[in-house]
Amino acid sequence: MKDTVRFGEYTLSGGILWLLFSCFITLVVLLNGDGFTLSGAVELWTGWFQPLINVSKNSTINTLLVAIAVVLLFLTGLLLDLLSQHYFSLLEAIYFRHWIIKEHRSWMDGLMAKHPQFIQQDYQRFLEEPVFNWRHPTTQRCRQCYRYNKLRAFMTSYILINAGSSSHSELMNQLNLWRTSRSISMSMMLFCALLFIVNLVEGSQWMIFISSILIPGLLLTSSLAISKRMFSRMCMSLFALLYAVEREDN
Amino acid sequence: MKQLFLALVLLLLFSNQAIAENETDIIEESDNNTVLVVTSGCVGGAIIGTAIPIFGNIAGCVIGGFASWWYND
Repeated sequence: MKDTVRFGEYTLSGGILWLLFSCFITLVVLLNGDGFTLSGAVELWTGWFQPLINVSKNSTINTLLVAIAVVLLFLTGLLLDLLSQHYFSLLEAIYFRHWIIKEHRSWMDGLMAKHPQFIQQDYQRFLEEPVFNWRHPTTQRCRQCYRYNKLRAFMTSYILINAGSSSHSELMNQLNLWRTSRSISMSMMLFCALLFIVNLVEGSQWMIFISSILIPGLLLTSSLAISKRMFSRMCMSLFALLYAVEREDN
Repeated sequence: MKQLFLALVLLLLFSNQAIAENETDIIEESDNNTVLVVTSGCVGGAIIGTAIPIFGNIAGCVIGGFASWWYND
């Protein structure tokens, strides 16, 4: 069941990236040609898939094509997950350190003090040191992201070991949802970067401003907002379960 | 303060916008469009460069701006 969920997540996020990329190519081709029309877009897409439709009349090749497509989507989703982990861990570490953990310090300090060998030192340093340092930006970022990932892994493991199976499914649902939304946000971010770089329309400054700055900017903001919202929800569940498990242990 | 900064950036971007009445105006408008396109390319490149703080942002901004200018040209 878990493997199927993971497979579905990766395939979905990979599919969204390919869809956005296809939309981008369609916009570039049509806006540089006769202009964007729905019939033109349909004609372009039919042209792309026509060779595949011709080849796939043979059932063996059809199965092979489907298998290749699924593997491609899965791989894209996997790469997106790895990329998003790298990109978003900085933002998550900042949000986690400045807003989320401060609310829970009164009882989190006690929990961390119970495990000095594994987590306490990293927890203290994560709270004391800044996430961003102008002198050593990459090193400091890596250190703080490592501490944040270790802390989150510890919290998740603590819940999974000490809580009942009903809590597991709730937590896993939130974690899966957050991971998928992060991958989707990553693909939207890449799409926005392409829109920023490639100027699609020609004409007045306002037209260029709207197409190259305003629309990608709004898309980027909304994708970051979705990602933040999902992260916040996941953290809420994580801390609620951790608090309940910790009280039960005491 | 942030709104003021944004307003200033927008004002700078559009301050030289002119209605193309003669050849000089057309050249000026074209230059302004290039500035806008390169700016957006810089932003896009800097977003991708976030993977490596500071250096990645700067390199991304330069490469994005250049790619944008090259594509527009």
